[in-house]
Amino acid sequence: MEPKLYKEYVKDGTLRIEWRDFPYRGQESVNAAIAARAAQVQGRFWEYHDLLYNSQFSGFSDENLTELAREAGLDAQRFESDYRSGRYEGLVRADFRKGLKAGVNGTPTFFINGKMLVGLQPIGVFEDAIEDARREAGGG
Amino acid sequence: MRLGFSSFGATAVIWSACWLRIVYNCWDETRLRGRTLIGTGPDVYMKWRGVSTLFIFAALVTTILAGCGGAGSVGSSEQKTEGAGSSGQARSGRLGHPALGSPDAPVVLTDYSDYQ
Repeated sequence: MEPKLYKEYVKDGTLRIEWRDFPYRGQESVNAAIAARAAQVQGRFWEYHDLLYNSQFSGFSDENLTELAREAGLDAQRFESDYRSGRYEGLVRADFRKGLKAGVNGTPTFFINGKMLVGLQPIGVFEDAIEDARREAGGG
Repeated sequence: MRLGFSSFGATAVIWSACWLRIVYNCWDETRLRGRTLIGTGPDVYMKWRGVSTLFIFAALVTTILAGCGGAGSVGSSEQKTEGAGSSGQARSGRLGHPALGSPDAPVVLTDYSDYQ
């Protein structure tokens, strides 16, 4: 997510950003999402999330995912155990199903207080949508 | 939960009242619920007095504990409800959605994405 949005709106309590997995490009997408949940268990979801985005072109094999876990400063042994346990696959699949139900058919798809915004957009589009949502929510 | 404990407390009070009546009968009429009490010498009176004191004390303790126990259980169930309603990380021992920002923020941006 755009750091500017974080600085402008998250820090002052206006905005909350919630992540949902929508792995629709095959098994490696699912694996990456599960690995990120395994990182979340150790409190480093966002660090791992950023590393995944920066490593998109090297693929998400099991070895790569574990290597990224080390880079993120995770306990690699615990990460591997959580990642391979299958414990978090249900969460990832549930997010995917909910996304389909909400009308998501590609990524990224955003909902700002329920209003859908599809695809990468200029930062101004997000700012306008957030300001509108804030006004509608009665936050000035 | 609280109702159950209160009923128990009420039962204990009724029991202690019955015992008080028996003791009263022993002391003043040497009769037990209208019937003649066998062996009503001073030693028997003392025995009844001790037993009745024990019962009254037990009833009081039960009533006090019942009151405290009821309130405690209501409080803990409220805490559980609050936990389930919040968007925290752990819900029923499971991971919540990764999020940045205050749970009370007026604007929520939900991001459906794929890492590839």
